[in-house]
Amino acid sequence: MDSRPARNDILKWEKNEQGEARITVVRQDTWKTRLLSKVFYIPRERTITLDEVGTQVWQMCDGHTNVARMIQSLRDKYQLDRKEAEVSLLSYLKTLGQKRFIGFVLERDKEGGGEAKPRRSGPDASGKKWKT
Amino acid sequence: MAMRAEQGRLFGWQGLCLRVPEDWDLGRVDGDYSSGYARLDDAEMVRAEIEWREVPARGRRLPISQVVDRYLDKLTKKAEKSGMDFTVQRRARFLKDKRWLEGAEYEAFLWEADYRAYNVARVCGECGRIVLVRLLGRVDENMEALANEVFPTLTDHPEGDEVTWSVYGMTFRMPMEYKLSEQDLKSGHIKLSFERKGHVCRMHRLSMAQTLLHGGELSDWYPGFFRKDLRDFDYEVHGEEVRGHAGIRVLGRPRSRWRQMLRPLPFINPRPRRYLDGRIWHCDAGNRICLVEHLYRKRDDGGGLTDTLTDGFICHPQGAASDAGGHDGLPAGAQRHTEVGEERAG
Repeated sequence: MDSRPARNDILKWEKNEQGEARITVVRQDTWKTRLLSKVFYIPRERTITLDEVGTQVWQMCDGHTNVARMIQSLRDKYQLDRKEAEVSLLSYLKTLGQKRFIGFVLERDKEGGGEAKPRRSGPDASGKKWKT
Repeated sequence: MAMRAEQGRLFGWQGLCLRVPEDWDLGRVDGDYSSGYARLDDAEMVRAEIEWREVPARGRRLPISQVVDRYLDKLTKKAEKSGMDFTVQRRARFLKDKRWLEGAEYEAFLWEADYRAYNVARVCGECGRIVLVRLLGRVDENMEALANEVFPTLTDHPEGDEVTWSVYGMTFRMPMEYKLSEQDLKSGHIKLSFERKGHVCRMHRLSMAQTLLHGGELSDWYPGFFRKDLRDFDYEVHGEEVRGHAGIRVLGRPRSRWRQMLRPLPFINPRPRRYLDGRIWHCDAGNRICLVEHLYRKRDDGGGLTDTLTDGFICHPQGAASDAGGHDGLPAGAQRHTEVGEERAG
């Protein structure tokens, strides 16, 4: 939640007339793609257009806004429950991360070891089945 | 974290109701009416766990103290394995008001490991269910005041013939004889289906209504969004105010038998022929679209159930708007009872 998503600088993006973000992805220039492009048609670049919400999230991926603030922003704008906003946003950020459209800026621990964060569910805190 | 009794959010599942702080949401749910488990989380950690189990019909029921013994034995063994300090305080006195426990066999206890858990186990004399509720906090966190606000709101069976269901802020009442048959708790679209002898009730709530509708009308959006569900019906859509909101009423009847015969594999996968009565409305205050659908086999079986269900549906929280009289707060019946993820973005 403290990490700050940041857009991949290599990607070019702009807003279209509808205010939607258009990301241009340039084909990788490796021997595999060069070889494949001899056989199949692989465009030099492709564009991905994000919808209204996607654009808002994309704009917030500036390396300064952390995930918790992004969730709050979505909740405020779309009147979402915390869980709704959290699940949707994390899933979306994961997709963007897997496609290498964004990276995550993490705070370096000041004292080296970092402080222990509470876990989501403790060893004794969930999943106990209980017999009568 | 503090919550006043009239504040907070209602969690209602399989006849159990509990009022919890606003930011506690369902994290996991399993089981059915006879036994199950539900977990509520906040943004940081697990905050509450509820387990329930029907008392066995045959044989002698164990006293509640022995049920707690068994539960704690398991926890102790786990703590030993992980080398964690584990302390237990049986018959703890953290509950100030015990009137809600009158007439029930119960035990309140505390345990502490890497968390501190406030537990209450009780057997309801009326419904015969054993319920264990635990509230979890960090060791340095004082949860006693909150525990005294949350525990007394616990009810383990509905009073009357309607059950209150409440999840992620969607609250409605369902006749007791309808059993939960399907749950689909996606972010942005919650759907619960209930069944009873040829009748099916579906309750939906969709978030980000304005984004979904794109300034259009519900009557245009609905047939497209639910195209798959509507393919077995000849239906009509009428504009109608529902609970003070702009809404529509949908009436469907089964498509002709001839037409169904022409479908691929009509005999191997026959769909039941059903009638449909539904109400759909756009709640501006909550930016949501709510749907109540009743499917039934015979033309005259509707019985106005859709209207009853619609009346018991809370589409936005108290104080969110001053319009739509009668659905701020809990419906009268409810007041008596004291994983996931669709990408919306992109």
